Amino acid sequence: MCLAIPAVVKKINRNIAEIESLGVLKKIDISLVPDVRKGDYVIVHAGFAIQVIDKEEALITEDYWKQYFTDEAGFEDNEEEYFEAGDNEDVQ
Amino acid sequence: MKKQVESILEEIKDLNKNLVFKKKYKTLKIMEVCGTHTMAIAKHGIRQLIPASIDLISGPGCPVCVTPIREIDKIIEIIKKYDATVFTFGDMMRVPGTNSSLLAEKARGKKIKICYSPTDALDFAESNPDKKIIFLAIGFETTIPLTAVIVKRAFEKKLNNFFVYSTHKTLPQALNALLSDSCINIGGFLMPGHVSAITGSSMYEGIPQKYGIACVISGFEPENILLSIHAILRQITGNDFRVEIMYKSVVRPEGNPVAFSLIFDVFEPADSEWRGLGLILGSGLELKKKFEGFDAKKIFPVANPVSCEPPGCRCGDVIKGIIKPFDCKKFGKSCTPENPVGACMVSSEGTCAAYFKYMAGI
Ligand code: SF4
Repeated sequence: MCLAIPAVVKKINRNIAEIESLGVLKKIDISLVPDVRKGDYVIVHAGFAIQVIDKEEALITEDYWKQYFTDEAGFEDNEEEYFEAGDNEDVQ
Repeated sequence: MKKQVESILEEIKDLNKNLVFKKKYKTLKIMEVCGTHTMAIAKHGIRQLIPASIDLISGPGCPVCVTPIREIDKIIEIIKKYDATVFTFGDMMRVPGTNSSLLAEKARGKKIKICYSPTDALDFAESNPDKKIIFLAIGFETTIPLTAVIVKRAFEKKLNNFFVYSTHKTLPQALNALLSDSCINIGGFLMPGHVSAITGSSMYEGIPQKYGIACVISGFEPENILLSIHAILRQITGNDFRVEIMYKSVVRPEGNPVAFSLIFDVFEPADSEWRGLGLILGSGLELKKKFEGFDAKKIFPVANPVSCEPPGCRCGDVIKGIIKPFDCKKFGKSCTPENPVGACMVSSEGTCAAYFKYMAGI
């Protein structure tokens, strides 16, 4: 029920935006994300954009992967720091 | 990606081994409270990937499943008594009431329409001023702001043929109710990604400290779910219980303040009954007085129906995470997605439906 999918905003006309998701164009309501701009990625739920996707944060999550889980040598090096970082913002 | 999954699984195994060795737990119960997580976990076989001492259980995360049978009976009473067209999301159609369902009523000629967005109901009301339209509103914080938008719009447009029947519910109250139930021993929560996109993480503050439970807001990709399980194990290892966001691209600590505040412009908290959990104080939402002209419960009154759950169905225990669908005698026998007995088998995100679809052979 809370299923929501990412989409990119193509055009904006007042509270309606044209978006593209998985190659399909669609019109959605953007009243809940008033700051959205053309080119932003949004999360769409039942015809409404409910949040703008933070690209930087998406990249940070990717970094988290790269740093700790893809490069095994890198992981060894960072292991201690990684577990100690448990209570600060280091590990996301 | 495969390599990433393998390395994180290794990490999970190591952390878990250590925790079991240190007698932190014998079995760790991690509850997910989002139907989309339930589906993702079943679909990607995550239960089978992780160590057996980590038990993933499903909680009250499917709005259709937690809607009590009485609400279904009431809306059916309304369409029998009044000449109105009901709009709702597809998942509600087949949920069994005591004697009927919306789908069965539609087959009998009642006006019931499935909508993709709440705006479909509003648009229909606007272009059909001679018809009375009821939007059967269901869902948690992800969906509630959408209903709030259309109620405000109906108010601004002074529509007098558009109404909302609210079965909306808010999650944090349910989690607290669940945690005060002593027979459920939960060690970690996978918190819902899209509910949290609206509410932010502060909604769950208090839970980690008060109950000593790790709370991690997770996304929906299998890698993200595994990372979140990993984060839960890390919190337990460090005895450092807090709300952690592992779905940062979408969930900000403050949520979506525009959407969240809209909820309380239009609705006010009310006590609400949940299937399995019973009456939970302040866990429902009813329209504020300013919007009472749109309140289908006030405009179309019906007597309280005599409702009873399907005999033998254990949805209540499934929703509380006390039993697994396999433990229900009807599962996969007299209850299947084609012939569902209870709501948890009907909804595409119900726990019984997820188990049937992806885990029946296990
Ligand atoms: S398997 Fe069917 S009858 Fe049993 S709890 Fe699930 S929905 Fe109810």
